Amino acid sequence: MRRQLPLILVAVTAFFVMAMKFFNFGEFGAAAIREADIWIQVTYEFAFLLGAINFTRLHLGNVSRKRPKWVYSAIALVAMVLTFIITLIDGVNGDIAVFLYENIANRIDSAIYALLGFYVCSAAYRSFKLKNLEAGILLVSAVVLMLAQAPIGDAILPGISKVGEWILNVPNSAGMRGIRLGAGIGAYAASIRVILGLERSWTGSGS
Amino acid sequence: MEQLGNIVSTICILMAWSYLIKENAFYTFAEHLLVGMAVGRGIAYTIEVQLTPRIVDEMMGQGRWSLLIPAVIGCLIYFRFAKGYEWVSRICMAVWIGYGAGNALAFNPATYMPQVFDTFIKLDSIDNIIYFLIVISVVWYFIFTVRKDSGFGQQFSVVGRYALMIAFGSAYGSITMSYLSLIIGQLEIILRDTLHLLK
Amino acid sequence: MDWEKLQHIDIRILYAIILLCMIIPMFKPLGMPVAVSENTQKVYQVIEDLPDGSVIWVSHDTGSGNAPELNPMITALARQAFRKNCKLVGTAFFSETVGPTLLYDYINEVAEEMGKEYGVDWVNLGYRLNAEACMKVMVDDVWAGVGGVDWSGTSLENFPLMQQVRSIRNDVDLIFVTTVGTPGYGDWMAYVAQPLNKPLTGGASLTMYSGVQHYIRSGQLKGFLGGLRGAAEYEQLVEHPGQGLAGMDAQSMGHITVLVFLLLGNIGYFMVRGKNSRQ
Repeated sequence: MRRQLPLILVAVTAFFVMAMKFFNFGEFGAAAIREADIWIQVTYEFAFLLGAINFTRLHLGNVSRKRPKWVYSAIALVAMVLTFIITLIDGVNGDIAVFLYENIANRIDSAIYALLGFYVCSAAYRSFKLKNLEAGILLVSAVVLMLAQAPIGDAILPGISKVGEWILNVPNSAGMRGIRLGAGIGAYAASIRVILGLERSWTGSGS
Repeated sequence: MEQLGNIVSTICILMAWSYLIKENAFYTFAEHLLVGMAVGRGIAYTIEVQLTPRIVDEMMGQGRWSLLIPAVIGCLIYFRFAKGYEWVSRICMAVWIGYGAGNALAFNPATYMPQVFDTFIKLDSIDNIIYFLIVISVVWYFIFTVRKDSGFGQQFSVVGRYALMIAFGSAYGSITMSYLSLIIGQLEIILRDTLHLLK
Repeated sequence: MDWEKLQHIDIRILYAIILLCMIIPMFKPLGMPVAVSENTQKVYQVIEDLPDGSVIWVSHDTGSGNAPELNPMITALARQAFRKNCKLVGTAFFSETVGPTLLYDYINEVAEEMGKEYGVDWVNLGYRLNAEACMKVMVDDVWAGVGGVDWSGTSLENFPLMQQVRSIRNDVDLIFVTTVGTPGYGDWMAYVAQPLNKPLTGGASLTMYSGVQHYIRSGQLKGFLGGLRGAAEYEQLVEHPGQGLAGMDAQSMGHITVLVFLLLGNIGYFMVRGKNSRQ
């Protein structure tokens, strides 16, 4: 029961969704799948605290056991509680809630993400070496694209933007499509394995 | 108020970028502040915009008590935290996974098949011929169930590998541009909005 | 010359150089012309070809990380759409905390400038959990898909625009998606655009731009804007330079600097390798 029930549920849910798409059940079918879609939304809505509970358990554990850097865990918890209260009282588009979120959390988030801009420079310097033919092709393609996409590229090498556009539209597009075709088949195979109960890693019991 | 926001923004950006020198207390503080605030706002948003209308308006207001069934299924996920009953949470996961797998099989062919059809186009230009050959060679490269030790099969697979290098190279070129524009976004906040040094 | 040193420059010096190289053109703009690509032209044209007063669905599926690239696209779209008296209905599926706020801010800025009213000319429906289920429901019933409220929890009954927009199938003419991953253009294509045969366009962060080209070629995407550059091109077409164009000179210098680093790294590598093989 513990092992079989979830596997049966996976198959039933998947077959139901597919049947509603592939067969015409008329008005009843349309209403049924619409209701099912809403039900799925509701299951997600009621599971919304999962992440928050995990987050709280982790950081409360850090604070109560005084693990290294526990002060930061306390900061995270306080930030969570205060933001929650302020947003709930002020409303999600309230002035204070938006002010705090946009100028602090959003800003830190995008600034941390922007660190990647610096790392891409260090990667270009440290790792992007012309070691063999494959690396050479990769490098030439990257250099052309970099020049082509910056407005200064055409000033340095007239016509480079056209070459870049061609690389993007033909070899790159074809290569990506090849990957997409392969990955698509892989995704279908994985879905079928899940539905048939051959792929059970999500149950914690392995394939 | 706007200027205050810009000053706070600048301080936050500098705290985050201080990591470039080395890991330090300012960065760690900013990191934890971000995570905490994101979780807090996420819960409040879900309660205010999603749960309240669902419970107050739909369930209680319109009397759609059938929604209690998915509500209970959703709540089963919390059994992950109940020792000895963790398996119950898999019921909820099973519904999600089945729904996802069913959707993938039912809806993705609509996006996938045009890709296949568009590959087999008229080979009436050099570009189309190159395109067709590259797609086929890349697909061939990813077929691992056939031995490609020698002959045409191996050489064609090598063509596929080179084509992938071009694609990855152009991806790297694009990504470089993308990441640099993120730096520009932050610099504009500091130099233009806060310090008013730019027009 | 000690080529070893060229391979071991303190990385923080490189960070300072890249920062400096990007700041200088902000003060002394190079004024480089930005050529409009075919993909951007397609995006502009597909919107321009819509009848006046059409409804455009705009989904700002972004997190704050890539937002600087995608926000200018929303601004330019709002400008083009409002000029044609088109209505905008917005969602944001990628991040519950970022997308809805940014979508509101950037459309609102243009709307206030052009005298457009929230609820009448545009509405922000915000984020909903499980994008695929929400999209599937909205195909035939937008109100049910979002639980009958907008991004701030206000009932849709209050908005005249939403009396008109009941389903994507019948009431929406074009879908414009800015995307950084999943949920994004892939979900909109699978659950909405392809089944309903609706035109799908928008823009992507350049991190994934090379991966959408084959969809443009097959016509599943009606053009697509690529990152800040795409936004800058689009701003040119709507004849209102904004954040996209402003960043282009800094972008150019940034690229040149990365290329110089790349060259330095390789010169050092080859010199050291040559020296080692001679020994």
